[in-house]
Amino acid sequence: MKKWLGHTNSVVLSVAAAGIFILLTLFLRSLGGFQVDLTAGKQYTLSDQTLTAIQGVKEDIRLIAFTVSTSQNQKLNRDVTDMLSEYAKRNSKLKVEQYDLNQEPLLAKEYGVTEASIVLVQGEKKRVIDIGSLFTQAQGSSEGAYQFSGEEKLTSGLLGLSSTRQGKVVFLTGHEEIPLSQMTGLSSSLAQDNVKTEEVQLNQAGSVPKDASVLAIVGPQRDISATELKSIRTYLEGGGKLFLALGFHPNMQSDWKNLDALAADYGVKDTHAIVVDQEQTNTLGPLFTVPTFGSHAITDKLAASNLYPVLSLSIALQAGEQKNWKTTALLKSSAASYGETNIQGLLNNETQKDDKDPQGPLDLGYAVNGKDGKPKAIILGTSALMSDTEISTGGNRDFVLNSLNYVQEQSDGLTIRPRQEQDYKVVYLTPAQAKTIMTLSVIGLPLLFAAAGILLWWRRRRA
Amino acid sequence: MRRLFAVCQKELQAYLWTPTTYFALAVYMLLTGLLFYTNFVMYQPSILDYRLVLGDTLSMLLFVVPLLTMRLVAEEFRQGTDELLLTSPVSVTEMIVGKFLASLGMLLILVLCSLAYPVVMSFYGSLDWTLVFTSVIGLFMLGAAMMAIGLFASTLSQHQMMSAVVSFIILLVFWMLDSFGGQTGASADLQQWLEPFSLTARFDSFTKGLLNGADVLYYVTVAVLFLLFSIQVVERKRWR
Repeated sequence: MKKWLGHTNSVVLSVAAAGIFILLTLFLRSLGGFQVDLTAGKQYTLSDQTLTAIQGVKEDIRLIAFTVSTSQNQKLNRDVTDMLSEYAKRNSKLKVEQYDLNQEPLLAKEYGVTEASIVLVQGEKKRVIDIGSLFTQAQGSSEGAYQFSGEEKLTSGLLGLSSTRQGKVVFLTGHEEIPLSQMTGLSSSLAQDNVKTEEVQLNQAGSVPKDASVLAIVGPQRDISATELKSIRTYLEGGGKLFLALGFHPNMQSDWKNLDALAADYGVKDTHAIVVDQEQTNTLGPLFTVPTFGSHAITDKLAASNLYPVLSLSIALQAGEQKNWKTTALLKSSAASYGETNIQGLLNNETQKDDKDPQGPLDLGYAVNGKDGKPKAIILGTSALMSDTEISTGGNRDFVLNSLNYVQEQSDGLTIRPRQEQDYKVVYLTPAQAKTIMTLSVIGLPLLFAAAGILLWWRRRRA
Repeated sequence: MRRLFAVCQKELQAYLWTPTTYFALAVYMLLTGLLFYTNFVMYQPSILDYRLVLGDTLSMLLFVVPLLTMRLVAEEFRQGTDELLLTSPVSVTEMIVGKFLASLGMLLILVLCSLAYPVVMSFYGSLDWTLVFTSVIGLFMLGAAMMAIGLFASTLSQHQMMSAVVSFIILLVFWMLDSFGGQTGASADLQQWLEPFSLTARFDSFTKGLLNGADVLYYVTVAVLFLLFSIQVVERKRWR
């Protein structure tokens, strides 16, 4: 009986211990983020926005990484898979899968993927993030350094997948605006936020589509007609929102009457002066401005992350008194800058400040809110930053997306600082060095232990 | 406690005075050295990242741990000294924990030997020592959990080789738990359930420079669980 009790006790205790172990392991798995990040740049510490987005996932999401393995991109692939595993650690509803794109072409085709990508799949919904777009060359830092903006893109993708909102930005055409075909980076970023984009020619359509959440006029080279202005005003008076981004044109002073009138509706005056900034500029020269931010919901997070846009050939704007609208400056040039009003002179490389030229700091963009505090318009004196050639420069993409999200009253537009990463450090070994390593690690150390073993065996045998 | 350390001391001495220990270490260093050489030197340019080297050398533990633990209790059974231990003032718990601590001493030597590779790498360029530090902690924790499994296997038989084979099989199963199942459908769900119990999947965080609470506690609980199993197996002999 005593023996039987002893055995039973033993079995019960062992089974209970195994049960506790299984439950504890599964429970601890749910506390995935319970960790100390000792990496130099806190590489695996996710931002609050990301953690909130991950916790918000209620239905299973597959995070499928299609990577292409070459000897050059091992580190980049590892950055991607490490990031995905950090997300999956924090919510069991996120399931990571990784495939080699070249080995799984049929599966890749199923998701419409032709290059290295992350595909987020939730039921019928899916989002594709191009892995190449997650990496950019780091400027002004050591060799082999690069920026990795995977967290921003993936979190944005997660939010977009679970979001039920559907925005639509309508881009005006017919006045030599920047066409959508040259703003594909912006369109795809908007698509990730569930915002559709489409072009409209008011002469043909007659009116701005009713389902447009914003009317965007980006870099027009010709003025809009009186009829078009009327249609636009009708749309805006009916609750529509405006995103007006002016671009440089030699005859803007005389030719932009209706465009200026549209801006003036919201208390913004176009000075027709091009900003020349010797202080806040980049290496390309004084016509490229790296502005400071005015305090606003659009810009505060960007300023905190040190993400500033780079603007070219910007037009100085002025905010006048307006009864119905409140204007807030978003972008400012430096105090040393001025607005060149002699456009012909500017075109001939003569940029000298004279009495007619307004002295900086100059405002380069405004957010316009109604009396009720609701956003109504974004008016910028710059537009080239939205084109494919400039969207990835500095904080251009973040600034534009934040502005468009703000004017659509969608506050979950994200800006998460990209991480500075270092590529593998490599070294070329000489044959002599290789031989030394071989002698030490493959021969020396094992031989040392083997010799100790033989010596011991021999001594014990003699003893 | 004094008795526990006495057992530990005796076992450590047994380790250090057994030629097999040195041959096991020699085999470990030879195999890991070859893998290190292949990874670091054979492909040029050499990549200064300990994580790449460690990944391959880690699997050598699967062979070395059974060799180092097979003798621990099986030898007592074979020589009949277990009877002495069971009737001595040393409790079974003290005996098992003492032997486990001795095996941790051996593991420490093994881990310190593995440090030779990052040291060699550091001669040719700057290495991220934070990653080396967390990787070494991870290696020790993984090894400790494996030693506990090996010790448990050693309680199951009086034949050392049998213990080593059983130990290897259990370790291999725990090692590959994250490879069972597939990436889609029901098999993906199975893999989702098994993955948290995999010895290797838990190691990744350490090599990235992370000290993850769940991973640390997993290794600790595996060690505690198998020590408890070992105690129960030896206790059963008392009831025979």
